Amino acid sequence: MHPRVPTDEGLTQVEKRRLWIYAGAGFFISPGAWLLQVIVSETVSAQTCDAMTTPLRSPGVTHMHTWLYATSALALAISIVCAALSTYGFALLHARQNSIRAQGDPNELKEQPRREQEEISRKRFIALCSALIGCGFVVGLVFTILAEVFLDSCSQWH
Amino acid sequence: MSATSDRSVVQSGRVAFRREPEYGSVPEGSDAEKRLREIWEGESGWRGFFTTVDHKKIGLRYIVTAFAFLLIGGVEALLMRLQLARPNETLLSPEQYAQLFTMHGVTMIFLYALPVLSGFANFLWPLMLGSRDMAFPRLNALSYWLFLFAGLFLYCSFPFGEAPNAGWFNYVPFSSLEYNRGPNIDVYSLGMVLLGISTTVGAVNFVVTLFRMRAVGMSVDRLPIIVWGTLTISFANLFAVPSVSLAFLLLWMDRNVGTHFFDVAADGRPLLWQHLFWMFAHPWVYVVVLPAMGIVSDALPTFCRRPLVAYAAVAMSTVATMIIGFEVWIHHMFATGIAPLALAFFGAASVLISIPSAVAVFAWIATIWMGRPVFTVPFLYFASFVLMFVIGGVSGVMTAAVPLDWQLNETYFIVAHLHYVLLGINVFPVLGGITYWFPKFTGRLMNERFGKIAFWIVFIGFNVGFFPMHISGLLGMPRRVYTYPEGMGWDTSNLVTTIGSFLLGIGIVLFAINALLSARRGSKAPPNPWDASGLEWSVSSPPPPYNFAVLPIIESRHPMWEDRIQPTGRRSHLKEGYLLHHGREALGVHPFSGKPDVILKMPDDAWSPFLLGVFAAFMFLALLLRSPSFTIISFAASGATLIAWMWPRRSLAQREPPTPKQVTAAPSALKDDALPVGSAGEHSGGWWGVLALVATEASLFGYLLFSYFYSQSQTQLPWPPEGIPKIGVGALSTGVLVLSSVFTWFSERTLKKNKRWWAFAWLLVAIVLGTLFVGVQLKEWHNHPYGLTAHLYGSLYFTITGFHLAHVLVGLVILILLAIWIALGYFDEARNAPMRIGGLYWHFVDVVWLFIFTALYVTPIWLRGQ
Repeated sequence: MHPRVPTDEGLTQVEKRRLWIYAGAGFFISPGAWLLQVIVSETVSAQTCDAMTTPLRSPGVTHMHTWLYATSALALAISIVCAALSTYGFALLHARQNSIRAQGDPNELKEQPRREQEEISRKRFIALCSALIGCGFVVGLVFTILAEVFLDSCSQWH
Repeated sequence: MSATSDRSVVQSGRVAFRREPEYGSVPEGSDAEKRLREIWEGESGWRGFFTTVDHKKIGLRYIVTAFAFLLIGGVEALLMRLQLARPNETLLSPEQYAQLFTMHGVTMIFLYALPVLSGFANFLWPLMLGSRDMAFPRLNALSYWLFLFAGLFLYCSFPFGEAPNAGWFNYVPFSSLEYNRGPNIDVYSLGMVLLGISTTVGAVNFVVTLFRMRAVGMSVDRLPIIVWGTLTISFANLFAVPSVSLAFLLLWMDRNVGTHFFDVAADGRPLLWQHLFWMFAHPWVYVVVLPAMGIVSDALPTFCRRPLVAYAAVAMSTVATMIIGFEVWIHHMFATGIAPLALAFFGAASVLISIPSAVAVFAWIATIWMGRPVFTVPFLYFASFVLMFVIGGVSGVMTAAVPLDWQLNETYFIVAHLHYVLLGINVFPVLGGITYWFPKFTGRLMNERFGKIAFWIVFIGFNVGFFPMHISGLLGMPRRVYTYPEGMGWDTSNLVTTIGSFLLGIGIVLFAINALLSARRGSKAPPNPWDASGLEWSVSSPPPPYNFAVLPIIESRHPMWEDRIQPTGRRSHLKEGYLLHHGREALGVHPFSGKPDVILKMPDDAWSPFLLGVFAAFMFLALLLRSPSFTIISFAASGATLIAWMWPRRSLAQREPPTPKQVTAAPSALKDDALPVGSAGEHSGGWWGVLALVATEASLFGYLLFSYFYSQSQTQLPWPPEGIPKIGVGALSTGVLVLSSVFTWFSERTLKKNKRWWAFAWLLVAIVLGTLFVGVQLKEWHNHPYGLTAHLYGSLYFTITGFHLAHVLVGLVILILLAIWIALGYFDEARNAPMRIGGLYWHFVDVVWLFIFTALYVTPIWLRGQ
């Protein structure tokens, strides 16, 4: 099929593919970045900051804070990009829904939208969910990054 | 897209396994309706009891069995409360108390909290989604039988005073053989593995059901929230349950085989147990509450006379809660000596969980606020649930702060918190949900007056019982103590707690009496007695055996409220739709688009789930009794039953050649609207099921490798103790296994081109290579100077490779069966779903080996270089 051929919702195959990527970024990659940030930070700090409890033969990781901040910065960057993409996907579909509505017959019943509008509305719902999850995990990252900001030592609470 | 391609056009101009589904209506009482009833009505009597695969009967059995366990767990709690009502009480000995509090936790958390929700989901999902059954009816029955047998298994040693006694968390070293020499812990370990199988197969069924068994138009934005909740937790179960199953298996091996996973003397790590246990158990907390929150989200709007506020936000709060729930397990380990910075990440993540929870709470409050509440019994339970949720949630956020948790840890404050969370968020919605869907369960309404009395007693009893526990905890009372001395300041709060507990018990018993009496004498319910909006209320109360005479077409999120929400809008088709009445048939939809995809042939009632459940339970009993011969017999019986179950059946359109009934006239079968019939290619639910199984198996291996690396990171000993492993042998095994995967793929490809004997030949090569891998692996085992019990590394090495070898052997059996079926002419280029399913499993087994090879053979070289 030619990629530019519009489908029944008025979206081209390329647009559809992009929208799936945007939704996937929000649904999977943004939470994935958060999950990885917590796991990597936990593993690094647990391995390196063990002097107070059970001493290891040697520290697991040198330059611990560099590792932690680098991990967090990377995760935050990925998450922000994903949140932005998923929000963009939502905005795109929202605008498309409005334009279809505007193109329709003014006498058309609001409660009986055209099938193409329904299909767009369904995709808009998925994009909205993706944007909620994508943005939500940016907030999540801020939470967990604050842990290393407030606790700058391995051994004490400040 | 068609799996049964033009190949099926036979010379006579007729086509097999493909037809256009009829569309029409089936009036109640018509011949067509009677015929449907005959088709779907299971056998009656004792035979029907054991063989039924009806999701409604299975769902009800889950609920009744779980409720029975709730009562048993409740009696255990009351005995403990009697013991604690006064200081220095001697009603129970310390050992009796330890067994009671362990069994109370095990019962409530594992045998009541999730099973009761599985009951709701089993009963309601097909009715809510517009389907005739779950995706795998026989698997559904197996899940129930395994749950029942696991429950009985866990209780089998209780009458002998040898019940599990180390708490539901079962920490080592107390649960290790040195400190706990009776069968208590073995019962718990094996029972949990058996229960884990039940939970996993149930989760696979839910996931595939949502993807495949929805009504046309039941798109993702129209799903009831309970479906979101159960789907989310089913995914969670697939990834979390392997962790606890593995933990208990490793503990059982430590106790019975002599391995050293948790053995401190051999540099094993008790904290490994805590990690594996809480990696499962914290997500599990959300597993037992999210569907219950779904009950409230779906049922509360009925009594507020308006749709749920912020549907999308509530659905996503469910998903977000579950995702976050996977990374907060260390907040159960704040006091284990982990470094403060490492704890801080989990403290922050634990606080974070309050955000999605708050979203749901505000949505419920807004729904009540903006609606016109009707104060019926279900509403009272749901509204009070919101209050309990807030109290339990706030005390949870308090304990997410590490320094405060260090003060409150192991005190009654935590007991109060977990009861507000688990009882408040689970039991209240469940009691409300039973009252709400009682007409669907029994065809009758529960007595409202009696119900209100029971509610107020439950509500008052719950709060009088559990709120003072906060105070006991703040006053320093430790949990899990069987008694306490006078003068500690805990007397009054404990006495009040005991009084409240008995009140709660009375309330629960009154609820049960009301349910029993109403089921027999309650007023008969019309199809939609509450004027609710969901699709399940469109069928009679109780629903007919076939659920929907015609498969509905859905046009909104609230099919039964369309006339008031969108008076001039489209209407869902509830009386007209796809007929599908050529035997037990259901409509399979495309997982993502939701468009009709396949006509599924559903299985009749069968003995296989019950028998497999019995043999599996016997196998675990044999392991408990340490009887190798009994174990082997039971294992063989389980395997034989499984093979009989899996054998392709012509009645389910799983194999060639077709019966005359499965062949239709070409003009009809080649229309655009025509659908394939039965299991074929991507239309096979089994493929999706095995994909889900592969996900859970992959997690199992992931947890095994985590155990390996965790132990390596903690040990002071050389790793591996006998020097670097022989990478050449490992590489040879890897090559052989990868090659076998390639030949399996060849076999799949050639079968698709209908070259049956070539497919057979390639599969034989794959089997030979797989067998060669087994031979090389056994030789390598033989050549090692150490064994399974020599040291920690040996335990890990042999367990990981042994686990994989077991999977290879299972895979080989599957490949041999596939070769037999190909030789018998069961498959061709279109009807080859078992080949694709078996191939998927075999490729998975091979890919897992690549990870194991990297972990066991490559990383020691790399780390030594470091």
